[in-house]
Amino acid sequence: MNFSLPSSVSSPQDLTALTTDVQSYAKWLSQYSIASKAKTSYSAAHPEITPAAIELIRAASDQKSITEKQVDELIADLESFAKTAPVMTITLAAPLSVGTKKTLVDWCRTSIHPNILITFQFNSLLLGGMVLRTGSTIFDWSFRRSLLERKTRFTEVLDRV
Amino acid sequence: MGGLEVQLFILGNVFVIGALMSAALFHWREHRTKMKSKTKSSLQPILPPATVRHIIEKAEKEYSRTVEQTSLELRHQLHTSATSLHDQVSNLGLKMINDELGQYRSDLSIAHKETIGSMQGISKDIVEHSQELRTRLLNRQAAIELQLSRQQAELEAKFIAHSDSLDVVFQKRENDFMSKLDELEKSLLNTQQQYLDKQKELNAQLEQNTAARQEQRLEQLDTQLDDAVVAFLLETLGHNVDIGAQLPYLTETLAANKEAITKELR
Repeated sequence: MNFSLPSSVSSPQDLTALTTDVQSYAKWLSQYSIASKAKTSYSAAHPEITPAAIELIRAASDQKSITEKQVDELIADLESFAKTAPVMTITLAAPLSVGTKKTLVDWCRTSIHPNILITFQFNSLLLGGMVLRTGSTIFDWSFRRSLLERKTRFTEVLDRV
Repeated sequence: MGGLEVQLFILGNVFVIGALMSAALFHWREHRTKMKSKTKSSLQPILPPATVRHIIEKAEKEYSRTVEQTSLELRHQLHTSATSLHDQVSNLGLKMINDELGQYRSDLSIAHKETIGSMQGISKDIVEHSQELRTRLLNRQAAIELQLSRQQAELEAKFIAHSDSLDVVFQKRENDFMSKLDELEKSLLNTQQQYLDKQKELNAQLEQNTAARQEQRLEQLDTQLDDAVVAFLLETLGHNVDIGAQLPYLTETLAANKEAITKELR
């Protein structure tokens, strides 16, 4: 596996969609190759794939052209990557902006694991902070948890009020 | 034999008297018949009827008087004969009775003597038989008494053995009863103790439950208070959360827990 995922492909769902795009491109490429070998015109248009898939296909090519074999190897690498990559779920209090999401993914792939896949969810009850789940372990760093762990302070504050 | 002869003699006299009376009646009847025929046949034409009638009446009276006289004489003779015959019969009867009495007395004396002899033998036999019976009776009585004494001894032995067995059974039953009674008392004491323990346990449990319920109520109150505060914060802050502003906090938290996350990812 000689590629790195772009930061826009952060979750297993994104990776599945990326693999699907590459597979559709591989199918088109196969048909195009057969038509070229038969020296017939192939009028089917290039499939609509995501920029991340295009970037990945370009990275896998020799910057001039790409063969079916290279695409198949890329698909196999993506499927193997999906099976072996560590997965983590981060729940936040609100949906992320693209920039914030990219920052977090880059930080995690830089600091924790280069191939980590992160699924982002949101739950407004958290108020703030995040809840992180890896496998069967949950790290609750939400504001709600902080407030509940310090609930005695509510009564103290109310007493002072 | 004397009595039979007297009877024959009396019967002979009765027969002779009967024959004489029959001859007299026959003679009187024959005479009367002849007188009637002579009167009818010979005198009727000779004598007047009144004379004939008078003669007949006189003859009848005479005849009647003669017949009556003859009858009286015959009666007298019969009476005399009867008296004599009676005397003779009485004498003969007395004699016969005396003879018979003497013979009877003699026979009776002989029979008495024989009877006395027989009675003496019978008495002796009776005494001997009585003695034998008494001996047998005594032997039998002794045997019965011996058998009775044996049976009584056996019965007493059986009674003693049965009484001993009954005593053993009774003692065993008594022991069982006492053990059962002890067990019941122990069971009762255990039950009472269990009741007291259970009561204490229930009291403790009640107090514990009361305290737990009180604690639960307090926790519910705190939870509701927390929920109220959280609901208030959500109502005021939930719609205005800025994740971008929280990004430094998020990265700092991730960096602070990097090792734990890496460990879990392995």
